[in-house]
Amino acid sequence: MSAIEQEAGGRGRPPMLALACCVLLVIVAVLGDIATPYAKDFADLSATLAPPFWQDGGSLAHLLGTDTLGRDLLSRLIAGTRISLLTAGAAIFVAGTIGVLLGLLAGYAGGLVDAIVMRAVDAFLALPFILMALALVAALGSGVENMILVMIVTNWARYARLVRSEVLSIKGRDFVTLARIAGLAPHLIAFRHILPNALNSITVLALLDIGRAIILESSLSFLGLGIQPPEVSWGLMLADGKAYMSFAWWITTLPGLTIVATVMAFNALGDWLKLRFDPRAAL
Amino acid sequence: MTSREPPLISTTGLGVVYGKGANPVRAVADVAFTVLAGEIVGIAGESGSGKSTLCAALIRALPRAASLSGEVQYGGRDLYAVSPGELRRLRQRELAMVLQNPMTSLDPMFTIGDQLTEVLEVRDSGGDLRAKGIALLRRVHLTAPELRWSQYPHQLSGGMKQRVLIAMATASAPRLLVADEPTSALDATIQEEILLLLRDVRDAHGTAVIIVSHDLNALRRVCDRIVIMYAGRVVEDGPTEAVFSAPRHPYTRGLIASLPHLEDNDIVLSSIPGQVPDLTRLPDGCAFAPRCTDVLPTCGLQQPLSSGAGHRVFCWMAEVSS
Amino acid sequence: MVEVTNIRREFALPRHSLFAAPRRVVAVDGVSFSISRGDTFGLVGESGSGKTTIARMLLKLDLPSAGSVRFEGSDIFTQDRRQERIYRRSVQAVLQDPYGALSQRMQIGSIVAEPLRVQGLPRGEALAAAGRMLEAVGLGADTLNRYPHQFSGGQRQRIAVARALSVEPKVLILDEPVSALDVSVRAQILGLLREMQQRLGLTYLFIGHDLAIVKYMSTHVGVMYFGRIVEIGPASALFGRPLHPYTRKLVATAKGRQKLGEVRLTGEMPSPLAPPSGCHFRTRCAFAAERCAAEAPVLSELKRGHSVACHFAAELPEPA
Repeated sequence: MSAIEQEAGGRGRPPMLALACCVLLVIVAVLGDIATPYAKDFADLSATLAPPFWQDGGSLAHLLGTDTLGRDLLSRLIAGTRISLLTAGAAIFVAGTIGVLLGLLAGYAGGLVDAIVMRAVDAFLALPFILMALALVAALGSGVENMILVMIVTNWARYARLVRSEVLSIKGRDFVTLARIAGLAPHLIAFRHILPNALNSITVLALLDIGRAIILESSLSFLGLGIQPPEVSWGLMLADGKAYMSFAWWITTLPGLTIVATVMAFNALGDWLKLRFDPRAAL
Repeated sequence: MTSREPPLISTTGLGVVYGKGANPVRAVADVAFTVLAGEIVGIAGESGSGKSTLCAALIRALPRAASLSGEVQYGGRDLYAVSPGELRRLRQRELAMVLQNPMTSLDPMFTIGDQLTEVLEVRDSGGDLRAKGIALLRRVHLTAPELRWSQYPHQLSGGMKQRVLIAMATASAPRLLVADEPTSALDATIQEEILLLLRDVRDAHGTAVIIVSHDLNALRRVCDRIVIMYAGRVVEDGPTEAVFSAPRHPYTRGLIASLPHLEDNDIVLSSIPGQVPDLTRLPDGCAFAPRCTDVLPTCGLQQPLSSGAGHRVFCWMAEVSS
Repeated sequence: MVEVTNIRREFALPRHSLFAAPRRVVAVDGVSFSISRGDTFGLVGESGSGKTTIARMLLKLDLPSAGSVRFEGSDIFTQDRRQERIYRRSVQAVLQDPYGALSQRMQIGSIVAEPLRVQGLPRGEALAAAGRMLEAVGLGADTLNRYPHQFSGGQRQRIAVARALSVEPKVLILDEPVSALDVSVRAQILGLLREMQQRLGLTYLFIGHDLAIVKYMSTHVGVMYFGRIVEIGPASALFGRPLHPYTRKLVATAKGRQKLGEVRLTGEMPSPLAPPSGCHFRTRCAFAAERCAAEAPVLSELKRGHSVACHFAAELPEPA
């Protein structure tokens, strides 16, 4: 990139609203149960199906209303943030690590190793997510750990493919050639030179993936295959309120809106980062 | 060299800035420059000189991230005030551009014939487009044009592709052809051929040609006039031979001296100490001052003004000595 | 010190059908030359002439299909690990692209110190050596902690030179080291290289496409065309009285005297898939005759130490 393109690259400031949302979500996830006004499974049977405070019948005691068992929605949303972000984060981290390592191996070693890894990648990308999830849950049972496992299995291949193509393009650059001339061992070249230069793309993929992972987790939990009570997840909340949509819309809709907002915030951040790393995409 | 004819294209106070905020990049600053009909003008400079940006600004091909100040007059009209429809018409008939990298300028999915036909159709020529296209290819000295017509870009060498691009650019006898580093990606032996071709285009159609290049020797052989740029500004502008035999600006002198030349059957090389300034942190006054051997106190304070008519130079030293 | 004998490098192209024989491209076709200690051997040629392939083989990045390369008497392609390690220390390179040569993510200090670290030097000492090297090439020791994007093309090449020289090699392979730099800065880098050669007693292989620059740097020059050496000899002799038609064209360009179009090479560069029979250059040669298509000319010594591969070299008219 010429000096001019580098200087003009990116729009400078990140999207502030999205950034604020992401930061808020992370803080809430870290605080977890401490931040909830009520315990997440505290059932106040005297205040069931209370609407949000801006509607008739709502009160400031339960800002976003309660569900059929009188559990405060706001508290459950806050508690669910931790689960959702944590499972998404863990899944991406492990899937990413596996995918990056395999992608590095395939890209740098080439030949037969490359062929084997890429066929595995193709196979995993070809399998429909729901079927795999169902099969794994049937074999291992539901619950947080198994759900994370499902998400890892269905996600690693995308990282592998991305990293492999990055490796192929970085491999041709002179500094790699010079490292070979210096006598550096191949695995050191891969980790010290190639991986850091591929980090930009990996980070962008991971950020964009958070939204995807959250949706995966919510879907699984909604189907009853993921998070189980008494743990709270946005997906579970969606399922809880399904039957009451016509007269207690807030039980399902508010968790749904939270999911949408979260995914959009992380995607916006990921998009901005992508543009910032490659300003040519904007021109 | 005064001419009664109005210039084909002229700019006054042209400036291009990239990026906003704390550190904008002044790619081009305060450029006043004209091209007459049928002239071959070379714009020379090194990295950071702004020559490619100037080139793009002249035909309204700047990226959106760039902000323009000043004016570009084409054929007496403000080029940037023209409607998009009119701009398109100008680009179809009168303005043409050839870019640096012939490898990426042609669509790899279509044959040469397809792409040439597309251009001919847009320029509204009727009749047998294939025959016209092949005649065009022959005119740019492409060997075996009938064969090339049905070949794909990857089957042609760099030099051949560049010829095809020139054929496409000159399909409608444009009034202005802008070539941005047309020979940089090509081998030394082919470069000369391409330059000759550009001169042929001028001789055949009276097209004005602007060639942007860092290769001074190449420009010397083909251009009527040379413009030297440094850090976004014009530093010298005059007839080719005058600029080469009696350069008035220290940078021009240094640049010419840096070309390998012969002395007693031995090659001599020299350089200009230092490097090109950072375009986001330009000093007040002359940008070349830090590297210049004859510096006056004014050089560090104010931009030099132009002196001389047919052969302009922007230098306080030159003004003092003239 | 470096002796290249008859190396050949063929590449097989992917086949179009299972039954066709793979097409082969000969990138380097029986090239031989030798470089004496302290000399600079210049290799001139256009892109596709095979010069970069030769550099890669000398750097052991690629194996020749035939022929041998000897360094200080021993074959470099049959080395054990210990010998290879020593070779890697003795032969370093500076490449063409100053922007791709330095990893964007590493500090200059680490970049320059890396070859030393690979040889086993502890970090502190390696960085100290790197600092000294950077000063020797004209950059301050404060560059150690900065990043590549803060430097210009010319400065990056200096860093590349510092890195190459940090392990005190004996031979430096320079593959178009100034082609990507501004003209006004080239002499700075070339001057630096010459100075280093004097100070450290280095031997250079200098590869380029601009004969003027190659001649400036070299004691001996070999001209390559299409994988073969067409002329080879002492730099001043080759430049003063070029014998091969291709060399004559290059020299005329380097001298910069002729007007546009005066010494024209006709025809296009042939495709590597279909090299002309006999002499590869005949399709563009003003003096080509029947014999040139039938028989490939062999490098033969016309004057002392000055050889040329052309059937008619002795009879060509004097250049204007």
